[in-house]
Amino acid sequence: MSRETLALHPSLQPRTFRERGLTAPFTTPMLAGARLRRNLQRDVLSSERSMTGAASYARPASERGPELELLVPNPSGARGTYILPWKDVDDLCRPTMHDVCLGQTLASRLGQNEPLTPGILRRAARAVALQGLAGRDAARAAQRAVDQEARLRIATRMTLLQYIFEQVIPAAAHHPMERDDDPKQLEQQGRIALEMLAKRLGTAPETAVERLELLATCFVELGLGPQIAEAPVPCLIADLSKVRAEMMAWSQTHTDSDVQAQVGRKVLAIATATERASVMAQVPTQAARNLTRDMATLFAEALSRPDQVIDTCGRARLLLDGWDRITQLWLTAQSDSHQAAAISEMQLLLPVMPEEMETWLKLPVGTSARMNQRTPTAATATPTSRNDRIARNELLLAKIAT
Amino acid sequence: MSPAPEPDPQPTAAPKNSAAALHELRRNITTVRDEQLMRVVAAVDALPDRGAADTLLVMMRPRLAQLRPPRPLTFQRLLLAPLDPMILEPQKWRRDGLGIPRTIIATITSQLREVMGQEATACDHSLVGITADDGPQILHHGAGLWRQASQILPNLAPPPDWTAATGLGAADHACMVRLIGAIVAQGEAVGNLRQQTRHGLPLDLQRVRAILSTSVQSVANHGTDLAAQVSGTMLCILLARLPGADQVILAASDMATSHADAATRAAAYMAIDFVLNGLDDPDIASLDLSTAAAEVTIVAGFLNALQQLNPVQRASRKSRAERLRRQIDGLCRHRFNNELATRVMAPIMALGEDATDDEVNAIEAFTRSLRSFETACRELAGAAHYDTMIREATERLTSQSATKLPVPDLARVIEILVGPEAAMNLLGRRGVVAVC
Repeated sequence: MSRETLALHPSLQPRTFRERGLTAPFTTPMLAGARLRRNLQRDVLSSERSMTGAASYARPASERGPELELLVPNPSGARGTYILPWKDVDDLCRPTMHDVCLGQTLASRLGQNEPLTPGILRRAARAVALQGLAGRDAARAAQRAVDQEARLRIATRMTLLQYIFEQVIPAAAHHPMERDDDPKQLEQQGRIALEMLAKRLGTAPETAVERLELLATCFVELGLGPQIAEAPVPCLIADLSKVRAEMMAWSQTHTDSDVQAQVGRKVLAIATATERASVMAQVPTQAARNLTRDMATLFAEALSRPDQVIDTCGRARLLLDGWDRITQLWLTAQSDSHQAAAISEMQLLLPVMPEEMETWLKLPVGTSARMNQRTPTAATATPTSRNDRIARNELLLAKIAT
Repeated sequence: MSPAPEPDPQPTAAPKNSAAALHELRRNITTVRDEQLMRVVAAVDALPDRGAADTLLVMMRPRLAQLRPPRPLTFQRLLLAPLDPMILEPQKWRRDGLGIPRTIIATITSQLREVMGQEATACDHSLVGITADDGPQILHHGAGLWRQASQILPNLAPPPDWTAATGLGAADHACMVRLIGAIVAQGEAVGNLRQQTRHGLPLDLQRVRAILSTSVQSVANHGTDLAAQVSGTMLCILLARLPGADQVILAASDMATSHADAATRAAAYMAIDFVLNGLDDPDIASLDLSTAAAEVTIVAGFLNALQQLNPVQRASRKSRAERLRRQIDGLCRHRFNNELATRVMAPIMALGEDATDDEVNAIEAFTRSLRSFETACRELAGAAHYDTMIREATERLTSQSATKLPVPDLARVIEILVGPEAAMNLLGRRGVVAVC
């Protein structure tokens, strides 16, 4: 497939988050903001083909090649999205060693019918970064992120045990577990409460332990109790607020010329989208945390419909997908000219919202389409070399990992 | 045992301004580390009356040009910001050349301040807390000052101490104030143009032509020599400040060929020659790599554009341009070969499995700079030499016993030097990256 035959979709309006795909931490300049998704099933494809006219899907299923598809928004600043099989990425650009390995790692790790989730993508990205393929700083950051996640997971599990203890043993509400008590004692108290809960729900204690681990995995990103200050989702929401405030302040001091007025309009568009993302992500975050007020019901759900719990807890991350790179673009811009360049790039990276978010957030039909309307953006001149842009992307990758 | 740390120069010595402290500072200043130098600069900048302390920085100017420490934005820096790339050390300035000598700055600024009176003091106050690298603030505060200065400067007479202070005559003063007036008059227009390009918008050639034309016309009544100096200086500023040197030079050429006024046309031709003269002694060997790369990009764009110029071209100019191209190409090749051997290959060969993050990061950063330099150099006289050098370097690095550097680190250097395909080949051959 040559570049001329790549399908450029003028305005991609995905219906589901699965169709939209996930942003991957690519370091190749042209893949900034690109998304990966599993090859959609034929029924979905046939309707998408009528919607987008993707000629490449016309091939028989046996020739469809790898499971992964790449979606590249605004290639070279142009409007629209390229969609192509990951194996054909060479037709679009010259991917870095890191990105080639990331695609290969992900393809090899995905199970036959396993959906591509932020967790799987994150673990694959960290595995590649840990090899040092995006540089030593990114490797160190990936290691810190792995350690931090493991620590948060243990702490989240302990918080869940504490909630169970306080809710299942009525007297415990008057004598709550203290975080600075002996951890072994806390664990023991929590285990007793968990066994009581398992008995009440008619399940084996081992299964309850297994579900506790599942819940800890589900809530580690959102944070519970004392972990909220460190958990990735609330930290990203805080970054969004910070970026919005800084950008608005920046635009107040850049109002002198026509050029600055143009940039000011971009800033306003980004700040509005930033605020919206922050507000939207807080809704499912809080809704998921609210489930822990009734641990018996949450456990019953985790036993009977674990996918539902995973889905509920994963929504905030999906709503925020792509925003970590956007916020870091601003937060790592150290001078006025870097901030000006960041603004242009940020606008190109604003994530498209699928229709599914309307159901999730109980928003009127058509909201996502209105949110996805964009003012045409001129291609940004990039005077720096490919190597410098890759180095900058590696720096972002290191920042995002931590 | 690690060597004892160098004693820091005492920034407090400068504010005392005593002869002994200054002598001590002068002695130390040539050997200080970068971070120490930055602190000295900050201390001198903080002095209410810099006096003799200012002279300390003169000998450090080349290092300051590389380090670019944040300097406070002063009235003088704001006034001369539009001329910045063309403020020359006295030994590099020629009476019939471009730009202005640094030695006249203090006197002319002082003259302007005297005429502006309270307005100059108000300007001082408005600049507190702003640094000289803050482009939008310079444009914001400078627009008014530049307009006012462009009206005042051409009417100034030389002060009594002019010759004593600068070594120049009264006629030179007249030329300098007119030249500075003509350039700062376009400060806002150039600043806006620069901002546009920094925001990713294409270079507006109409505006480039208008800036060149207006600056020449503003001194048209004072002879073609001055007009040529103004247009040549402005052209150099545009070349230094804007991307796309070839487009800028073509705009100048357009002006030369389309302008009915013979004086303006002559000025534009002379401006091109002025720029060509400025290339006679290119400083490729001693500039830091990124500055050298930027310089080579401008020079290559300029020389490539000159090749296209007709009928502006004279045979002599053409052959001179070709001679310059060969000369600069030779310098570039020599610099590239030397840097590749000594600052990429040698350190990689010397590093072992225990290479630190700083060591590896430093090699990667330098290799990136070298590649940027090499990319700029290719524009001068083709890619064959550089391709050969890089291929040979890669072959040496990827041979089994060349280095003990961990394979992922080596693969990254190869990726920066040649590209991801060669890096993936290395990973595949060594079979070390399990995740892939």
